[in-house]
Amino acid sequence: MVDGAAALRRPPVLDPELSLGWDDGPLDGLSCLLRCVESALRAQGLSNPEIAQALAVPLDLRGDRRRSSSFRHGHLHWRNAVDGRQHWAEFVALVESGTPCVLMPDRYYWPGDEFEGVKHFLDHMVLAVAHADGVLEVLDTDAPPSDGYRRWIPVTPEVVRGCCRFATVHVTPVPDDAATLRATLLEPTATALGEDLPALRTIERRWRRDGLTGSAARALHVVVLGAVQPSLFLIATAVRQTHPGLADELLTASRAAQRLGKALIGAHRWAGAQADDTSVYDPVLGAFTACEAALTRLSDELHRQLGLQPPPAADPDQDDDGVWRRVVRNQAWCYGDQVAPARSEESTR
Amino acid sequence: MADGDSTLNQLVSLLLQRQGNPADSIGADDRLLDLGVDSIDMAYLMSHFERRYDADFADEDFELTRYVTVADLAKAIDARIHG
Repeated sequence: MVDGAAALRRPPVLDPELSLGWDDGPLDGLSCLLRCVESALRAQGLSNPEIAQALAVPLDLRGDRRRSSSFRHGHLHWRNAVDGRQHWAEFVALVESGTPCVLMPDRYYWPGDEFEGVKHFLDHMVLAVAHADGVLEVLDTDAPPSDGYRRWIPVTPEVVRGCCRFATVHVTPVPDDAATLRATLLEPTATALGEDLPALRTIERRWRRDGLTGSAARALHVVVLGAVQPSLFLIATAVRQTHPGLADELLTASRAAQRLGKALIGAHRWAGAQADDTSVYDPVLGAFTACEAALTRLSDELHRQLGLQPPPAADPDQDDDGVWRRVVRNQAWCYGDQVAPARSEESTR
Repeated sequence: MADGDSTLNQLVSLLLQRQGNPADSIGADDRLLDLGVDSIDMAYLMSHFERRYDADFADEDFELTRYVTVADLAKAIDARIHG
């Protein structure tokens, strides 16, 4: 078992040269969460193919077919609290003992964040790698490259309060071959994708009819860039040697998903204070339909190349809210309304 | 934004509307990097023109490194939407 408490062979880093699919930016290929996990696993000595095969999971657009914190060869052990003080002692003890921890801070309390003091919003993750002299050191895909994607966060009562969700990484590498990758990644992806495509058409109809508000758009970008696009990229990377034709198809769909996610984030910048003005998000509908088309092509190719029975034709007039329900769940997960304000006299240790 | 507006004018108008835009005015020769335009902005800008003109941009059209100035980007968009 290579787990969160395992001795590190080298310090964790975020490094484009070492990382999976890091071309134009840190979120090429992987999400902020997976970049953190990748960094922790590489520090424990795993190679890039081992990392991809450990973290890849079958594509699941509905997001209800497996636990969200599980991977093929491991899992994250999350500690979630409304108030970070509840587990601050455990958190810093782990970090100080050399166990990197994935941290999902409440951005309301995170110094310098655009949501600091404005809104409780939890959608970004960093890797806490050191704590000393009242300063928390984290690896952050959003930090300046010139600082090695590191930030040094002075620990204040607000920061302690905001450290309300963190996780340790637990992975056991298992050798894979063409048969195991087909059985555990490709076939489940083909089946689930065939089932879920009608639910994408329902979102498209809903978007055309009602528009997309800012909070729904943020939840959608978290689903797309946090789950869908990384899943496609990791499956492609995991099967690159054994199923190169499908790997290409998976990468094409991954790029379409990335374009959709980026366009949604871009739209947030244009929305500004008019976050619920649905017209801001109208231009992104084209990127959504392009992604939908790419996933449809992927489904066709998976079924054809794997010799699987095509999915049954869905009733085009029948609504399927399976994927939309995931977006709604994500809205609730990312907006932490139950977080109370910190007081300046609170202890940080 | 009228249909008769040039692509350049539409692009400048869009860039001025972006939150955090550092400039009071934007000209054709302004450098995209100086305006803080990144790949995320590019994804939204190109989606805007794709949807408005029912155009289809290629993957390489989204690569920020292909363009230096606002005029470079407007010219490339114009070529796609007006053939």
